[in-house]
Amino acid sequence: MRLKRENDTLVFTLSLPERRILAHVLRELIAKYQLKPHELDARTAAAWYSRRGCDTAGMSAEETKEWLEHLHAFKKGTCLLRLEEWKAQLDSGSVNGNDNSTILCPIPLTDPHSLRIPTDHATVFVTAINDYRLAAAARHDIGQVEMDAHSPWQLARLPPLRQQAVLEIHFLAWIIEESLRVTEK
Amino acid sequence: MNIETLPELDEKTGEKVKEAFEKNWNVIVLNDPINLMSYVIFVFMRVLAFNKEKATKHMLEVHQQGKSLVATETRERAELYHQQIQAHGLSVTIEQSS
Repeated sequence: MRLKRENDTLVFTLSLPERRILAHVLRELIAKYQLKPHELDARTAAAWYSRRGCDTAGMSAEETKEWLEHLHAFKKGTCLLRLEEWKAQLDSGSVNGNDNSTILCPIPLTDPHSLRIPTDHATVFVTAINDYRLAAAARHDIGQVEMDAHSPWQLARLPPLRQQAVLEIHFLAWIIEESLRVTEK
Repeated sequence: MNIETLPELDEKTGEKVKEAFEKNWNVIVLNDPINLMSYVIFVFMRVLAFNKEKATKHMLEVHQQGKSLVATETRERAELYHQQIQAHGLSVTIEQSS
């Protein structure tokens, strides 16, 4: 992935595997942001809609429910439209509108693909992909030990799905850090 | 000349008004293994309007001590910070300061 800023636009240049991962991330976020807190799987709900603060604030069950609904409405209202725009950009580079090629295909079907995001929307972008990281970590029990596993040997000791989660989390971390660095300039 | 005065508040109402304006609610951000340091700094700058130095100081407190008291406010404002910080994915609680 390469990231540069062109005036008020972040331009991500993604390889095919990177584009597929990001498209998958955006698809998952679009699906999950539409679900209310109680409709999500328990681990994603705990990651995004933790009740801990409501408990320490002494909120009643009704107040907590309302508070979480506001939080959900905020996430959905702020992010959904943008996520769909960005997913459409990623899909538009595919040969037939959706990319069914294998990640390990040695001959890329498309040229490196650009994702263009206005700097005004960068906050929404990084917050959303961070949400995916949090949900992936919660669903696959990724904690400090797994996050500190950087060598291939350490990673290989994890089951495949947890390895995939760790790799996705780190790839998205890279995107977040680069985005923050470039927008700060 | 007849000067109208506001009726005096009864004690209970007065207590409630005082409570609403009292800055005695702590906003505490907790550590977690997933959020990036740079992202935490970004959230502090964006939500709490910290400058970079202050945001970094509080981020390091979260990272090294497990938590940081980032604001002490009225209940209403503390709840707003709570929602905004949690909307950005950070682990946060609010509690009445002792």
